[in-house]
Amino acid sequence: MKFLKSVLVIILIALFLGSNLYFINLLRDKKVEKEPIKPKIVLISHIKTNPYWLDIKAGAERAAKERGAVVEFLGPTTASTEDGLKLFDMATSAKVSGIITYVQEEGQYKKKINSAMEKGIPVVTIDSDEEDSNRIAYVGTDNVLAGQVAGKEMVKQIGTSGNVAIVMGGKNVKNQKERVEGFTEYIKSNSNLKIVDTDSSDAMLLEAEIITRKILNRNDNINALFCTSALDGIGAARAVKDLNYKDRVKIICFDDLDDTLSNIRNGLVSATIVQKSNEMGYRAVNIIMDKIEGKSNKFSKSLIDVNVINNSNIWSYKRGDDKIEN
Amino acid sequence: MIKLKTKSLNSKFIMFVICLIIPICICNIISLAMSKKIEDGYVNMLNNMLITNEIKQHVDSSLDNFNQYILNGTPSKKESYNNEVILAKQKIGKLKKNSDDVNQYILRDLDNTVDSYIESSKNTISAYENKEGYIFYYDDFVAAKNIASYCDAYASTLMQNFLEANSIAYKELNRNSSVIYIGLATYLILILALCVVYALTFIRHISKGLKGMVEISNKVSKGQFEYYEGNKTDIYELDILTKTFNTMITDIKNLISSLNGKIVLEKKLKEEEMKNLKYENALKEFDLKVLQSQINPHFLFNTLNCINATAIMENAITTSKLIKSVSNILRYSLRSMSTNALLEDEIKIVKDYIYIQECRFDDRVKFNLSTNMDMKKVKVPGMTIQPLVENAFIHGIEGKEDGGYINIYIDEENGECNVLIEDNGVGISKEVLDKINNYNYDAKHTWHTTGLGINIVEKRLRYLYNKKNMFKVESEEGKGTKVYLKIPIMGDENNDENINC
Repeated sequence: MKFLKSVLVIILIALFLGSNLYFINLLRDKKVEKEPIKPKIVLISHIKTNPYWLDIKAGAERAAKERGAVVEFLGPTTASTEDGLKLFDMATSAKVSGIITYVQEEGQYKKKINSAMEKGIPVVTIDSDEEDSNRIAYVGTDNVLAGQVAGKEMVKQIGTSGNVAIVMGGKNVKNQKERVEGFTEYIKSNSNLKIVDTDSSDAMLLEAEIITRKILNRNDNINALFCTSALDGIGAARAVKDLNYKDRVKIICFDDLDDTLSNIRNGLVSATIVQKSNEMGYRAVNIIMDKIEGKSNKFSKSLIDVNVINNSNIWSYKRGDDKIEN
Repeated sequence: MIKLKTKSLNSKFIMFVICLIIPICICNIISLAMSKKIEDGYVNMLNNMLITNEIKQHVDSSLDNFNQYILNGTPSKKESYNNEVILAKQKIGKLKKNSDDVNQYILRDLDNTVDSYIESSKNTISAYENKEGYIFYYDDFVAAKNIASYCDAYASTLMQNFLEANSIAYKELNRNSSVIYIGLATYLILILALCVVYALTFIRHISKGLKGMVEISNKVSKGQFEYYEGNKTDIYELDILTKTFNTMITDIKNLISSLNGKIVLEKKLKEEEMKNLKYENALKEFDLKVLQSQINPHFLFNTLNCINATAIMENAITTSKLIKSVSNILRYSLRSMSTNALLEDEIKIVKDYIYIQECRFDDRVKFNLSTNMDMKKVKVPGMTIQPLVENAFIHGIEGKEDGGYINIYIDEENGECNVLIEDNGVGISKEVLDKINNYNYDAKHTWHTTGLGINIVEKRLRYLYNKKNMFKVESEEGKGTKVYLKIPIMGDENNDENINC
């Protein structure tokens, strides 16, 4: 009894002291080790909330972590040259260690890029280029190659003969033109497919749907559609679905938006060409870091190949994962 | 293992209070520390935000002054522009010193932006001062304005960050504080519960101890002194009380039993006293008997004196002598019956008695008195020897027709006075002799009725000397009787006193 009583007393005292220590520990200031300030690279995107750009950001952050830098991800909420330039200007005034920027409108960025380079801030363009400027490199998809890959996939899907229409996101947009160029080139030299119609949606969803309807109404023997921008594919798929041309008209499009992926799963879209966005961000940061650390980089262009997603690999595909085998 | 000893009330109470106070103090300290922390966080945040705001205002007003200077060329504006820029830089430096991970990048950006702003504005100012013309400094002028607006943007971001950081810290603290509050509440409840349990056990101990005491007190008040084991409590004072109470009961019990013993003893003593009183009463009774047999002594003595005088006048010498002897005996017996006398006086009376009896009975009885010692040294109760001699005559010789003799021997032996009264009379029957020798003093006295005063003589001797075997009677029927007395010889000093009694 006496023993039990003393054990109880000891337990109570221990509990009391223990909880006190716990409380004090909770209240204590957590002295975080202030990490030394790292070089900062600013990544100015096309549209800040775009998942494609979030993949680029993820790749950039991966590289930054490896190279001991931090990435600040900026961008206008809607595509705007003015906002893009302002962000670029801010980064320049803040004398950041490097700038990776999307060129909203070719020609407008040259002056800013050059002035930043003069101040010793390395600039890398990403996804779209300002070729005349002094930027140290361009990182982006090899759009001609992407067009070729799309052509190859088209032949694989519908064979070597038939009629194909192209829906492109802006007739004067450089990457769109390159894609169409690569596509046309491949088809002409590898099949008897005919490109019967080409129209532009200016990369807008509703327009894409309308254009597709128009194309399908204008031509009654279309076997396949090639859509060169992300939203074109979704708009085209809607039109095809509405017109009940699902089994007649195959669609090959670009990028891996959720709608596109689900369209592949339910068979509306046959294949999509996916850019390795993560790889882009990763490579851009590495180029900047190489420059800062004084390593030479011979290439002013760093072109990245693409992945093809069709019903054979859709189930194992995860966005942002560039290591998909073709 | 801690050994829990019986604690005194004092230490128990102190322990109790300590156990109550310490946790409550800790509760208070922890809550105080918590609110202090929240306050610190807010003060820090507010300071940082104020400084950031000041930076913003410095940049704005410097831009204003810069603008005015370029427009009007007032030198005071340039000066205040410089001051504002310097202040902004100082404050950025101040913020940089205690910035966290996120803010250090923004601060660097802000710092660099302010530098860019200074660069652009300085370029503008130098171009303006060199009168280079509007076209040369316009770009820088616009750039400076733009960059100043960037500073504002950074400052806003910074403020927002401070607010966010504080709110995150506050949320974390809040989460912790809810844990702490629950802990503290549990604490208090636990402590209160413990206190209640402790108090209850304490009260139970006390009441248990007291109840036992009350019960035994009731018993004691009813006179039942039985040993009380007592309920063992953990309270030192109560245990001591029980223990001492027990000791007290035991002591009282012992005292009472010893008192009882004393009472028995006293009772015995009283009985003894009673016995003594009875002895004295016996004496008094004897005296009374003697007195009853007297007629007015004065009248008797006067009469005897008158007879004596008449006898002398008539020249009757023998008659006068006889009367004198009778008178002596009478006087002595009246005076000395209740007091002690010297053996010498006693023997004088015996001689008077012998003279009278010899005159009365002539040759029929023969008296021999032989004294062989200083009889002043021996003290005896008055009328001791004479009655014995008278007894020997009355019961021994008088009944014998041919007469007899009575011998009285007094001598000293081993510091004692031996008195022997011997006659050759009829003797005493064996039955009566046994009664005399084995006289039971407690039994009812029968000797007075027989007229024998022997035992009263012995009683008085015994009373005087407090000694046994002083008296012995030997007798044979038809041959005679011997009465032995053994009286201790006293020192001379006592004699005067006794005589004067």
